[in-house]
Amino acid sequence: MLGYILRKTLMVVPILIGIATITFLLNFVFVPGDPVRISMGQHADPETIEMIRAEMGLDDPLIVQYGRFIGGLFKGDFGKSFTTRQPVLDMVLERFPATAKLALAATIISIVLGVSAGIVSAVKSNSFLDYFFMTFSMLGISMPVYWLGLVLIVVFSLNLDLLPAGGYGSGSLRYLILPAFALGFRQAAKVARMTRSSMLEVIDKDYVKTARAKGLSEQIVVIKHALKNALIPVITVIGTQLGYLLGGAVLTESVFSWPGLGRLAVNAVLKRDFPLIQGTVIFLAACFVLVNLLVDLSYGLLDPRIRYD
Amino acid sequence: MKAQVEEEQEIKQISEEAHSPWHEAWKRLKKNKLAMIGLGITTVLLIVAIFAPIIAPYNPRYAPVIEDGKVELSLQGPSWAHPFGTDKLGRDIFSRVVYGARISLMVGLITQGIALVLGITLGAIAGYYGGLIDEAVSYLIQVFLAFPFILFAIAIMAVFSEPGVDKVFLALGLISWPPLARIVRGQVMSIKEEEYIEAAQSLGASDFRIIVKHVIPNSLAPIIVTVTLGVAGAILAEAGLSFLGLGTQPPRPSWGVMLKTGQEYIRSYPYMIWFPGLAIMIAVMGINLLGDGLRDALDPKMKD
Repeated sequence: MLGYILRKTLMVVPILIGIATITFLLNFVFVPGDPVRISMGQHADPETIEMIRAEMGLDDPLIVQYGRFIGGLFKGDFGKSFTTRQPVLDMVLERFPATAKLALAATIISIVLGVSAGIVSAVKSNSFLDYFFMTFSMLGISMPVYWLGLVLIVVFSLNLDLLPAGGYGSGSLRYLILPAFALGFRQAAKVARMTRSSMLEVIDKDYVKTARAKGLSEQIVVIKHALKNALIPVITVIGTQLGYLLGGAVLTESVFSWPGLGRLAVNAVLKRDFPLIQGTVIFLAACFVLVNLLVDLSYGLLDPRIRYD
Repeated sequence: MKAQVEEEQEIKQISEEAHSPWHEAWKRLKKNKLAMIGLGITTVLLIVAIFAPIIAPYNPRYAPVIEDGKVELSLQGPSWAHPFGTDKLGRDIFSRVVYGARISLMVGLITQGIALVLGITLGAIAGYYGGLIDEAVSYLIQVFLAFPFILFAIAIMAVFSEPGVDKVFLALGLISWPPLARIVRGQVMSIKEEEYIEAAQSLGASDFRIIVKHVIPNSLAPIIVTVTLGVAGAILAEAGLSFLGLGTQPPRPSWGVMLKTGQEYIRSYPYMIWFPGLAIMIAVMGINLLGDGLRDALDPKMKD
């Protein structure tokens, strides 16, 4: 078991290096011209540009720059922002809690909504409720998150005046509800479909029939026997969908002026602050990779049938 | 010898026409109501995109200027003359939504075209030659899939000095190939050792010919499904990039651009956000339904 965890964890390292390499290539090799000049604009002071170039070692051979960059990452050095001159990691870590909060809230919403809709749909399959939930989940999967965000703003902020249309509100829950719902809805739709189909699969299994035959109440059968086994694929969905969730967070944050990493990344692109783009992208991709690792590792805890060989 | 091969092919063709797997798949697809809804929506989308100049009543990019550069029809809510209303510059939103279908479909098709070329080439090379080349390509696939999709696209868009729809094609195409490469690689590896491939090789068929004649036809079903769902994904991604200001640029009537402008006027003129968003949702849903239906019809064993 420990060996398995270790092996899986070690396999993540080359992936992270690959991610860092591709972002490095994009920002410092494929960009036509001098990234510092592009970022500072046409009228930047040549001396400032020279200073930044020297400070970042941009005149060194590429391979040296690359080595320094990868080495720096291992030491937690993500370089300095072109525009604010602050260390990138500090800026990223400052914004990270807001994004983590949004993503976590969205995931909770998606699990609560998705799993309950999925169970109802499976238990009462082909009923009106089943069709209702499945239509909704079809719409949810196809709906752009930022559009749902705009619709929620029109309905709940502008028309009903119930919730704020944007901002962080120094962490108050009222500000979290709309963005979390906008972001979590697509995920909820995916979770609902997956819960339904994997519930339908186990509901015919012999052990569920046995549970029913020995006179257990329907609720216990559904929750204790069917759901427990149906949840494994659902957890996979939550893990693999995290990529969409983080991408969606970038868009949701823009709609609701949420001060997270996504907005930081978009602003960095608009200002062409290459070290900051690099830092946010690597950080978010690393989050995605690590959560998927945790999902992988958690299978064994949930399903004793899975062996670590 | 040659005549015999031809004769055999003919016989094969005749027997295939009777029970061709494609015919069977079509029969299964026709029975699937959701897939037919998807096919219907996709067809309408195609028609709207192709005949946009006939369908759209107004110019999507420029409104008629009345006099002194003043625009009379600025920011009007939905009416009979302008069923979806007009925007700040007096442009008919309905016409813009119609033309937006063109951009979305183009993005979907071109992106997937690039992904197909890259995916088939890399997948085939990896599966065929194996060894270090395979390891390298597989590693690249893993790394590419480790990026959140939209975030990867954003990072690539940062490279270009000016964003624009042509760069969106490139950015999304460059990151959409890994699932296709995976399919083709797997297929190549599974048929590489088959006798008929060996026979083709000993008859002097080139690697390229073997890939085109044997590998692609064998993996056509999963490729079609992946590409169809990929079109929907690309449409969503383009709209998202454009909404952030990092994709298609105004005055081009991309649905994402329209939502971006709509957001600016959301407090006073919320009607502007409804129709471009609905258009994205319906288009993506239609193509997804078709893709899901194709998956069930082409290969009943394939799953989510």
